[in-house]
Amino acid sequence: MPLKIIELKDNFARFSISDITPSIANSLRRTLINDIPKLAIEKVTFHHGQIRDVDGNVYDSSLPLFDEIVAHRLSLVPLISDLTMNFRDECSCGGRGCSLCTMTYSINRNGPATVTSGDIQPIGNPDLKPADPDIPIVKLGKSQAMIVSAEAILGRGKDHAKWQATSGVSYKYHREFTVKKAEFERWEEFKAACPDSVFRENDKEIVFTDDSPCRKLSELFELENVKIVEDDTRFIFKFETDGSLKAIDVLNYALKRIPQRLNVLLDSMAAAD
Amino acid sequence: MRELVDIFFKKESVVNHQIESMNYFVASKDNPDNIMQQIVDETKISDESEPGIMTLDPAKTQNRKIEIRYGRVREKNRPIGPSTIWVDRPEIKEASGASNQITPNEARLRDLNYMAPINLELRVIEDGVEKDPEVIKIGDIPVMIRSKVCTLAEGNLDTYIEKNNGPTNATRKEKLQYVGEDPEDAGGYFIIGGSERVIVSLEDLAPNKILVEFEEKYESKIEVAKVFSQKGGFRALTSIEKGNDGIINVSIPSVAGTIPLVILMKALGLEKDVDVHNSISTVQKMDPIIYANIEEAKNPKIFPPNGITNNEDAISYIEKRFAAGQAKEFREKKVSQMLDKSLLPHLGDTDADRLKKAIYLGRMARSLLELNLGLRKEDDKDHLANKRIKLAGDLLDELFRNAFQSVLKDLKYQLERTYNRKKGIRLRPAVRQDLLTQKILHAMATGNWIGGRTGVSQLLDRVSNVSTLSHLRRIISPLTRSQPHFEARDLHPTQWGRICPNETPEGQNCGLVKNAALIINVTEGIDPDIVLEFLKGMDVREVLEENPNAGRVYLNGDFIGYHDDPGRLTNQIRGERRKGKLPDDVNVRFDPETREVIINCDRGRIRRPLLTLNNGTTVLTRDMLKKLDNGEYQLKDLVKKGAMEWIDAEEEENLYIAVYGYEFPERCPNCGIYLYRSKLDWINHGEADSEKVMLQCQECKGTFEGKSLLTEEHTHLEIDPSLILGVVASITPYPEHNSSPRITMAAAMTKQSIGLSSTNFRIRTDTRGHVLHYPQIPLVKTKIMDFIKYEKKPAGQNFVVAILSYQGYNIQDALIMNKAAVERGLGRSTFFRTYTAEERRYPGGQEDRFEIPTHDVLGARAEESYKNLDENGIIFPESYVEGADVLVGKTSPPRFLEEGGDKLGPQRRRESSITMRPNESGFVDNVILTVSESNSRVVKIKVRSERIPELGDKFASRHGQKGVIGSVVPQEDMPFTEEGVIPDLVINPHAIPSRMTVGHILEMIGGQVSAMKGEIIDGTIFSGEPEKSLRDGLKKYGFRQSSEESMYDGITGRKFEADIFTGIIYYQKLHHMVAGKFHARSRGPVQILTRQPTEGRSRQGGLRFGEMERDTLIAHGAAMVIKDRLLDQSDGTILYVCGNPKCGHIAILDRRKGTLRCPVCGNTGNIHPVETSYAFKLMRDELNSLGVIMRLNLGDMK
Repeated sequence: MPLKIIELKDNFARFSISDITPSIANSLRRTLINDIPKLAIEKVTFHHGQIRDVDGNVYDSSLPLFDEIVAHRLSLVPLISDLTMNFRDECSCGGRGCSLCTMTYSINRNGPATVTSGDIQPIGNPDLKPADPDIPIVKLGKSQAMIVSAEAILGRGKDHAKWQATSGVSYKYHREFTVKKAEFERWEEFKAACPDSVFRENDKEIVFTDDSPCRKLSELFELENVKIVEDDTRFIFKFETDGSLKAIDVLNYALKRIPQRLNVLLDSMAAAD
Repeated sequence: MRELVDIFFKKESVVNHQIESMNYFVASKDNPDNIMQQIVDETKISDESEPGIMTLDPAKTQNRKIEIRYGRVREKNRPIGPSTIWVDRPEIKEASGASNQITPNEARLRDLNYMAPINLELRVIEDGVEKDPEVIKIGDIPVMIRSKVCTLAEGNLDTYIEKNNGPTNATRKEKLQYVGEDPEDAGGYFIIGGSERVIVSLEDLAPNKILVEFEEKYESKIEVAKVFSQKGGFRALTSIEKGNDGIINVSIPSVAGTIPLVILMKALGLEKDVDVHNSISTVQKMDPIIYANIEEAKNPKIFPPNGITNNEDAISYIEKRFAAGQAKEFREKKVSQMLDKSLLPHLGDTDADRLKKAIYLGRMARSLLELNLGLRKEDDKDHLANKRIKLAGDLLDELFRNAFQSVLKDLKYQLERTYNRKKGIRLRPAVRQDLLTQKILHAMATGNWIGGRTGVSQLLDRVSNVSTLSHLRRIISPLTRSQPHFEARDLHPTQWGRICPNETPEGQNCGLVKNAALIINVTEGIDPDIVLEFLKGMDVREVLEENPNAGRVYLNGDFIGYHDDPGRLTNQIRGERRKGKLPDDVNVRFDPETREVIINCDRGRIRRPLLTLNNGTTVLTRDMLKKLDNGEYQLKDLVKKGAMEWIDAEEEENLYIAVYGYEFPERCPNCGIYLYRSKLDWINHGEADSEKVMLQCQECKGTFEGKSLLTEEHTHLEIDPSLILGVVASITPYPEHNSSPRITMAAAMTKQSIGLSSTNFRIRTDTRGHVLHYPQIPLVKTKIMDFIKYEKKPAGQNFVVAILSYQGYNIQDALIMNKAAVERGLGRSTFFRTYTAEERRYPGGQEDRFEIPTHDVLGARAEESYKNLDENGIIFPESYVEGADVLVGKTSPPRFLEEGGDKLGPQRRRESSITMRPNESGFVDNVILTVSESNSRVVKIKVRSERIPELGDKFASRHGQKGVIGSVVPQEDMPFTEEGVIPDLVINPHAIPSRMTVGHILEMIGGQVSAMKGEIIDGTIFSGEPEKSLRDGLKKYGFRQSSEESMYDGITGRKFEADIFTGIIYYQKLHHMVAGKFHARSRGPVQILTRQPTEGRSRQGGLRFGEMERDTLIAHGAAMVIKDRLLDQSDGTILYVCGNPKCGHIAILDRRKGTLRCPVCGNTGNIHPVETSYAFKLMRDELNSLGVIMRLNLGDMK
C-alpha cells in the first residue's frame, strides 16, 4: 500500500496511493475535508457608538456592511493555526474560554480605508496571524471607523466551512488511454503536447495517462479508437490548504486521524464490558 | 447596428417614455403648449359658456357683468397669449407655515406627498374694465421623479443644492447621493404619502377611428361599424349596424334603442335623398341597399302618418320616440342633447356641426357596406394601429381636467355667494385649493381613476432593479380578466419591436398585461392643422363627389379629401418627413386595396425605430455614427436626416424590412475565431458607391467582405433584432435556444429575484425589502444588461452546477445545495422590515406619547419588555429583537373621555406600543426619527434579519428553471470532479428534456468557458457567441467538448458510471423563502365572532382542516377524529338548554351563584348541557333576531 508523494508545496500536495479500495481512499478524502482542526474566528464583538482618534476626530461606528456580514467575512479569514491548542469543549476551562483554547484578535481602523485581513491583530501569540494579509473585509467611508475584537477557536470542517483547512480535495482513478498507432495517426500530436503523460510506448501502441494534468488529454475521451481503462485500486490524490496549516502537516494529521476515529469503536466495545 | 443602440441608451433611460409624457403634460413656461395649459384653455364652466372664461351670474352680482378669464387670450379661436398656468418646484407646507422645497427622499422618509403647487393667472374683467391679473395657487399636483419639475432634474438640483448649502461643485452623481438618491434610479414614478406609485400605461382602442367588423347577434352574422368618438375627456361609442333586412340602424350613446340611419341623416340636415345616397355610395353594388333604406324611411306604414321625407319629419320622429309627451322645450333639448352632445362628439357639439356628422355617418355606412360587399376586410381590433397607449401624462390629463373643472365651478359658486358690491370680488379666499389637491391625491393614492377604472396607479415594485424597470414599462389592457378574449391575448405581428413577446404573466392576465419592448416611442401628437396645411400643398382636394380613380385621404381617421395618385402622395409625404420638413410625428400608410392614404399624427401610437434604406444600403453612414458618438449629432438629427425613422404599426404595413444587412462567414478569415454579430462591425454602410459589404472583426480588427442581404425592394433595415424583447426577457442569455413559454416563465421569475434593488437601500424605508449579500455579474451576459445597468445592480450569483440525480433529494425540481458553499456565503441575503409609529394628535388636544409605559398605564407590559428602549421609548439600533418585542413604547389617551369618570379617579392612558411581528426576529438596523406633515413625531424602525439558504428556499436560473432546496448536503458527501471541484448546486436531469431549455445548457458551457478564460461571454439573443465557439473554448481549457466530466460519489467514493454534465450558470434567489412562510400551531387565538381559530400565519392561525380532508376521515369512518377536528379543536361550546319541551331556549349559567336558569320560562331545574359548535349558536341567535325562534327539544339518546 505505498503512498508516493508526487508534488509537495507549502499549501499543495499531490500523491498517489495504490492497492487500496475506493472506500479507503474516500475516507482519507473525507478526513482531509472535514476532520482537520483549524483556527477560525467564532465570536466578534463590535464597538457601537462614537469613535475618537488621537487627534480628536469623531468617527461613526456604523459600517457600510451589516455587522453579521463583517463577522461572517472575518470568520472565513484563514488564520495560521496551532494544533497544540485545545478544543474549547475539551479544554480544562470547561468551555468558558481561556488562553489555552481561545485566541483573541482585534481590529482598529479609521476610514477612509479598506480594512483587510492584515488589520486583524493577534493578541497573544503573534504567529497566529492571518495567512494572507490582503483579503478585503470591509471598505470604510469617510468618518467611519471600526473597533472590533474577535475570538478564534479550533474547530473542524464538519461543523462549519470556516474550519475547513483544505480545498480542492480530490482523487481520481489511475487511467490509461491505449491507442494503436496504426489506427490513430494523431498520436504524435498528443505525445508532443503531453510528453509527461506517456505511460508506456512500443512500436504498435502508445499508452497515455492523465495522472499529471495535461489539457490536451481531454480530447482522448471523445475520440474513437481510444481504449480507456481505469484502475480503481490506484488513486491520485491532490489537495490544497488555505494557508492555515502546511500541506504535509494536514496529510500527516489526516493519516493519524483515521485510526484514531476507528479507536472510538474499540473504546466503545471495551466500555460495553 | 449595435452602435446606434449604445448611443441611444447613453442619452436616454429605459423609462423615458413616462418622463417625456409627464414633461409634455405638466405646465411650465418653457413649453406653452403643454397639456395642462390646453386643458385650462378648453375648460368650460357649463355647456353654454365660452372656453377659458367664467362669467358670473348677473342676477347674483347685482347686475354687473363680471368675467374671469383663466385661459390664454384667443385669436381666431386659437390661444396665443402667454401661459396662464404653471407648476413650481415640489414643496411641502410645514405646520409652522413655512414652505420648503423637498427632495424625493425627504418625501419617502417623512411619508409626504411629493407635490408641487399649481399657479393660475386669473384676469378679472368687471363691466368691461380689466383689472390687474392675479396669480393664485389652485392646488398641488404630484410630481414625477426625474421629470422636469422634479427637484432632481438637471438644473433644479443645482439650484436646490445651492440654496441648501450643499456641495455645489460636486459631480451630478455626488449631488444625487447628497440628496439621498440612487444616482442610477430611473424615476418615472410618483411619491404619495411616502410610498412610490407608478401610473401604469393603459392600452385602449384608438378613438375617432371607424372600425368595421362582423358581430354575432340574434344568431346571425351582421356587419357593425363602430367609432369611439373622443373629445377632451369625453368618450362616446357610436355604432351602426346592418340588420338582416338590410336596414342600417345607428345606436347613439346614452340613448336607448337605435334610429334608422336615413332618418338620423335627415334629422342632421342631409335632407335630399341624392345627398344621402352620395354620402354613402361608392360603387353601384351598394345602391340597392341604400335605396331600400331611403324607401324604408318614406314608408308611411312604418313611420306614420306620411313617412319621413324631410328634416322636420325626422326631428319630430326623434322627439316622439325619445321624449314623448314632454313639453316642446324639453323635447328640443333632448334632441339637441342627442344630436350635438352624445353623437360623435369629436366632430363638434353645436348644431352647426350636424351636417358634418351626417356625412361622417355616411362614411361609416360606406365602410359597413364595403364590408358587406366584400370590398373591405374586417378591421383587426388587435392590430396595434387600432390601439393607443395612455401614459402617465394622459391619465393625469383626465384627472386634472375633472379636478380643475370642479375647482372652477366651486370658485364661481363661492364668488357668486359672497359677492358684495362694496368690496368687489376677492379671488384668493374663494379658491379652494384642497379640492383639486384632494381629488388628484385620492385617485393617485388608491388607483381609483375617474370613470371607475381601478388599479391605475400601483405601488412600485422594488423587489429588484429589473422588476422596477419592468413595472415602469408595463402596459395593461382594460379588457376584463374574467372573459376569455382569446384574440386579444394572442401575440400580434404588429407587436414586433413594440411590445415584448415573452414578458407577460401566466394565467388569467396572460396577454392582457404586457410590457414595452426595449426601444419604443409613444407619440405625443401634433396639431393636425399643421399637417392639413401641408397636405393642401400636395394636391389633396376637398371634393364632394366620389371619384373611383382618386384615393381617399384620411388624417387621424377623418376624411379630408381625395388625391389622384395616392401612392405618389404617400411617397411624397415620407420624402418630406425624411427631409425634416414635416414633423416626424406624422406616419402615413397607403392601402393599395382600398386606395386609401391613412395619415396619423395623434397621441399614443407606439412606434419603433428603423433604419431607412436607399438603393440597397442604409442612409446612415459611419460618419453620422461618429458624430452621434461625439455628441455633434443627437438622435433627433438622424431622424431629420432621414437615416432613421419612428414607424407606427400602421405605416409598417407598407414596409419591407430587412432583419439583417449582411451575411458573414463562420470564422474570421484573418484570425480564425468564430464570428458572431456582436463581434462584427459593418464598416461601409451608407456608402452609395461601394457594392460590397465590408465587415470588421472586433477581435483582430481585420476587414473582409460579407454578403449583402439588402435588395432594392427593401425599404428599411432592423436596427437590431434583439430589440424585439423587453427589459426583463433580455436578461436571459441565449433565449433563442429555449422554448418560448420558458422565456415567459424566466421573465416572471427574474422579477422575483433578489439582489441589489437600489443603491440607497440603507436609507430607504420600504415596508419590506431584500438585499443579496454577494450579488455577482453573470458570467454569461447580454448586451442589453449594459443598457439597463444590470451590472450595477445585479440580482444573482454564478453557481457551479452539476446535472445528476442525488439520492432522490432532487426529484421534482428540487435542488441540492452544498452546505460548505452556503456557509461561505452563497445565496445569503438580508430581509428588511420597517415599522412605523407616529405620535398622533386627537381632537381635544390629546396626543400619543413615545415613552416607556409606566405600570399605571392600561395594559402595560412587564418592565422586561421595555428593556431595549431608551428613555424616549425608542429602541436602540443593533439590538436583537424577536417575537413580540417592543420597538417603540407608546401610550395613547383614554378612548372615551367622559365614561367612567366617577369610578377610579383620573382616566388611565392606554398602552399602544409598536411590537415586532410574532415569528419574526432580527437586529434593529436603523432608527429614523422625523416629523410628519402635521408636525407630529414619526419614528421609523428598520429591522433586518439574515436569510441563509435553507431547506425550501426557492432558486431559479434565467431559463424558467425554478426549484426549491431539497437538501443541503455536507461538502464531503457531494459528488466531486477529478480537479476537486464540488458543485454548489445539483439539479435533476429530468428538468431538461421535456422543457427544452437548451439555453440553460449553453449558459452552463458559456459560464465554464468564461471562468476559465477570465472574460464575460456574450449570450445576447440572435448575436451571442455561437455554440461551436463555446465548445472549442472547452477543448482549449482542457475539458471535454460535451462539458461532461468524470465524477465520483462523495459517499461511496466510487466513480459514477456516467459522465456528468457540469458548468457554471447564473442562479437567482427568489424572494419566496421558508423563513417568511413556515408556520405551525397547536393552540392559539380564535376569532371573536365565531370562536373558530384565526386564519393565516400573521395571526398565528390554525391550519385548515378542509372539506377534502374531512372526506378522507368519512371514508375511514373515523367519526371521533372528525368530531375532534371540527368541534373540539375548533368552536365547540357547551350550551345550557332549557329542558322544558314548550320552551327549548338557551339557559343562563350564573357563575357567581352557580345556578342555572332559563330566562324565558324561568325554569331552574330541568336544564341540560349540550355540546354544539359555536357557529350553531350564532345561527340560532341570528334567526332569533329575525323573529324566528328555534326551540331545542331535548331527548335521551337511543
